[in-house]
Amino acid sequence: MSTFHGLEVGKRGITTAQTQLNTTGHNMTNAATPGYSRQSVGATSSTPTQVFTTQSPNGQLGTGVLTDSITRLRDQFLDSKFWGQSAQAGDLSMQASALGELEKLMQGSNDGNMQKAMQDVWDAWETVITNPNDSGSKAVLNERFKSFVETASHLENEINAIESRLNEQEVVTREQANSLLISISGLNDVIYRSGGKDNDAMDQRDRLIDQLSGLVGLRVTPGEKGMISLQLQNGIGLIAGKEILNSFTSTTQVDSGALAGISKVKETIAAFKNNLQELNVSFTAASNPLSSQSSTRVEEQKEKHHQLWQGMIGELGTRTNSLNRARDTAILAKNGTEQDRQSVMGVSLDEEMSNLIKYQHAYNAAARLVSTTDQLLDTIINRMGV
Amino acid sequence: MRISHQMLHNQSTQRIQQNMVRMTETFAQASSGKKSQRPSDAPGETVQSMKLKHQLADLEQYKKNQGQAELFLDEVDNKLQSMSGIMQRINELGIQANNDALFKGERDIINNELTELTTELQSIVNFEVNGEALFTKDQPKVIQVAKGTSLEVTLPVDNAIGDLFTTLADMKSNLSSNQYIDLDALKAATDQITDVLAVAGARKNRLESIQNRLEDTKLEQTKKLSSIEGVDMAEVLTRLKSEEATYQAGLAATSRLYSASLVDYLK
Repeated sequence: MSTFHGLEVGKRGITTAQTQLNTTGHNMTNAATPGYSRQSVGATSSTPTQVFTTQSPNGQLGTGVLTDSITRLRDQFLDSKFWGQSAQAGDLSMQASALGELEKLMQGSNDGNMQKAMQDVWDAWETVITNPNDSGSKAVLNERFKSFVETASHLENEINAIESRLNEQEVVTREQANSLLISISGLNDVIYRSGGKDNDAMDQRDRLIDQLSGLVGLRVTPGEKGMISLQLQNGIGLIAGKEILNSFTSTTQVDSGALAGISKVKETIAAFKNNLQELNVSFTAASNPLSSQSSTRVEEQKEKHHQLWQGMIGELGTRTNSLNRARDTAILAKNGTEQDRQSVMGVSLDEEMSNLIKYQHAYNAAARLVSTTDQLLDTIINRMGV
Repeated sequence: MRISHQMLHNQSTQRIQQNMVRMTETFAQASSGKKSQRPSDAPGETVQSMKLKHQLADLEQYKKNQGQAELFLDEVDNKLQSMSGIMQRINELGIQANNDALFKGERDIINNELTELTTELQSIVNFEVNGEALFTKDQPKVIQVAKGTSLEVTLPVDNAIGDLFTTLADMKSNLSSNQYIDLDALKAATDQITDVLAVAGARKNRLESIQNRLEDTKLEQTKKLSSIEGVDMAEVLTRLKSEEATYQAGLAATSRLYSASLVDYLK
């Protein structure tokens, strides 16, 4: 056993305590950083050394503490659960908000401009039928018919505007996703070079994956030395190691996440627009001022077109309603998982404070050990045999 | 379960947000007086209320039509009354003319009056409302006065007068040629007009009962519409109050959470 064994043990204690204190400080200062996972120092006692004892085998004398690693506390399972739910929530939110816009548009004033416009035309027709020689009522009919045509085309234009906004949004979202892919693969490289130990880079990468998972549904598989490979949920590979396998283009098949939501809702809106156009054509033909009508025909055509329109609104309302509810549920689920994640990786200031006290005492104790050993050595060297 | 500070923060903000969302919706209900602001709030009810609205609009239009029908039927009634009066006078003239003691001059006077009265009858029969005849030769005028209910508002000219003008022409020629006038024919023509007057009267009654029925339906549907769409103000305001209280409680609780920490207690 060496003379300076005590000093060495003390020194190890001090260094380890310092590492622990610094890590605690790092945790405390990052308590409010979004996406930060707390780090803890793994300290184990170092390999003991043999020392002569009367009993055989010889005794093992402890040699102090060494830092094993600085680990990052994070639950992989909760992370992948969160990413799945985030995709779902992104998908539903996108659909619900676009349909909400459409429905506001259709509502107009008076519960559907279309209904009132159609009603007005039929009323004018009734007046004309009842007063065939009154030129005034014919003029009213013409005006109201024109007014209907304008209303219908205005609605169609507004729908077109929604569609083109969605298209732009799709392009922007795709660009966002692509730039996230570049950042993630860059971080993969950084982490690889650190041998899978760079905790803060991994935090940052996970944060980027959080963002990306809202846009497209992801599957994450861990790779060597801390790298991860990313795939879409339908299996299309995105990132393997440091390389980007596929970027997002207009032909990439995305089944979940906000991008998928955009294409799903575009289909719904296109179908609605189609129905509107059919209604428009049918109504214009049936109620044309140049045609001739009888009261019974007016009644039955009125019923038919009103029902068509009411059916369209009913369907849209029901669809939007169920999307709203599904979206609320998805967001609740996602928030729940986020809470669970935070429970594992979040910093509790109270906990860090008490750790700070603990490590400070350990530091003091180790320093005390050094002082004591110093006094012992002083006795041996300076006072023995003088 | 381990609680971190971010969790506390997230949870409290989310709860406060949820409270605000609820309050905003209740406020929208209170300020608009309507249960749902968008079709998606209550899709089934939205469609129902749209149907009711269009039915009410239909009723309004039928009311207008009924007004028009009333106009025509009143005119028919008036004209028939006038015709009846004239026929009475013609009957008197006929009886007078059949008196042997009259000489030619008096006969001529009767003839002149007959001519005047015939012209007047003719003009009454040809009377038009807004360019449409009251006594029609071909198709009667039909007005849609309620859903699936149409009413004839004119009378076929044959039913009203039949051979009237032939009878009158005969009477004129008989007067000129000093022959007896056929009083029975005159009486038959007068009776025909009286019969048709009864028909017109019956139609008018029918129209009135249709109008009453429509008013009742309109009232019912308006009530139904307001029960579907409208909110009970008392209930909504009470709810708003209680949600406000919940919101304030949430705020108070949040502030208590944030205040204490271990740092305060360590020297």
